[in-house]
Amino acid sequence: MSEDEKPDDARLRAAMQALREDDTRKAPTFEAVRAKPSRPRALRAIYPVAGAVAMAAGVFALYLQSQRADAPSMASAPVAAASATSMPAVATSAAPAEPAAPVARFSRDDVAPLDFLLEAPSHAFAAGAGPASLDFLVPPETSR
Amino acid sequence: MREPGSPLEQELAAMHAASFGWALACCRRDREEAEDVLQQAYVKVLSGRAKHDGRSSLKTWFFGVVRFTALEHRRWSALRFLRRKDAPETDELPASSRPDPAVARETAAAVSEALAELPERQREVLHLTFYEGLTIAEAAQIMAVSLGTARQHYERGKASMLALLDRRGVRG
Repeated sequence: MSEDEKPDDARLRAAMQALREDDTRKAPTFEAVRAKPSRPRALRAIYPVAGAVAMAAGVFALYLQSQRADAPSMASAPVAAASATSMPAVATSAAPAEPAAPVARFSRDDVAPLDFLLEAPSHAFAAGAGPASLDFLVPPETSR
Repeated sequence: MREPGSPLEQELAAMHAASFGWALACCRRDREEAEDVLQQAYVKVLSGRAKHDGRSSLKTWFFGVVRFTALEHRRWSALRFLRRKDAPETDELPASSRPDPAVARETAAAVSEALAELPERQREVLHLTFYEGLTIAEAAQIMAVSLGTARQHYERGKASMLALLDRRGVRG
């Protein structure tokens, strides 16, 4: 079939004509379609929602940024423990006390040794016959 | 919007049935979506947002507008929850309609199902050629593809469609 010729398969044409007649029968009138109220465009709903989301994200980002700036004053417990265990050695020496180092200077190797926690007799707690004191939790160099 | 009864509006009204069939084909036979797409296409044309430049026939050009509008519409189909629930039911037939023989209706349903199984391009080119009686060149223009591509879709689509009709027992 050349590009200027009409479709050549009579069977297909007949089948499509059956569909066409069915569609024509069910088609709404031109006036009905033209006068049909248009649906709310998705964009109209998306713009305000997207704006609100973007604004909330911006505020949250600012909040996170401000929290990050205050991070040294909100050191986590293991890091605080690390400073507590390392400070006595400095304090007992004659050197002048240095101001507390910012948390950000600690590397992963500087965290306090927590191995003594493994020595806790946890089975004793489980049996309901725990020790009278919790001294075992205190590192040896700081115990009384 | 142009005044009611303008020559352009009359031409659109004259080819309304064909346009609705094409809108159905572009919307995977979803009747409600086809009505929306056609309504948006009418608004585009009658408000002057889409202008016929005379390089092709009005029908070819308007079918291109309908196809593009359907593509736009489909991009937002994920947001169907925004659809209005109070849209009037459109399943009722116009008063002028007459009951069709059951056989013809079954054939139409089988053809519709078979078309739905075809890839989009094949479905489009078969609709434009067999349903609308356009040439492959006109179909290529509407589909915004080259003539060679349209012909390839035509040949493949025709073979697939005949096999699908055979499977459904639709005889010519």
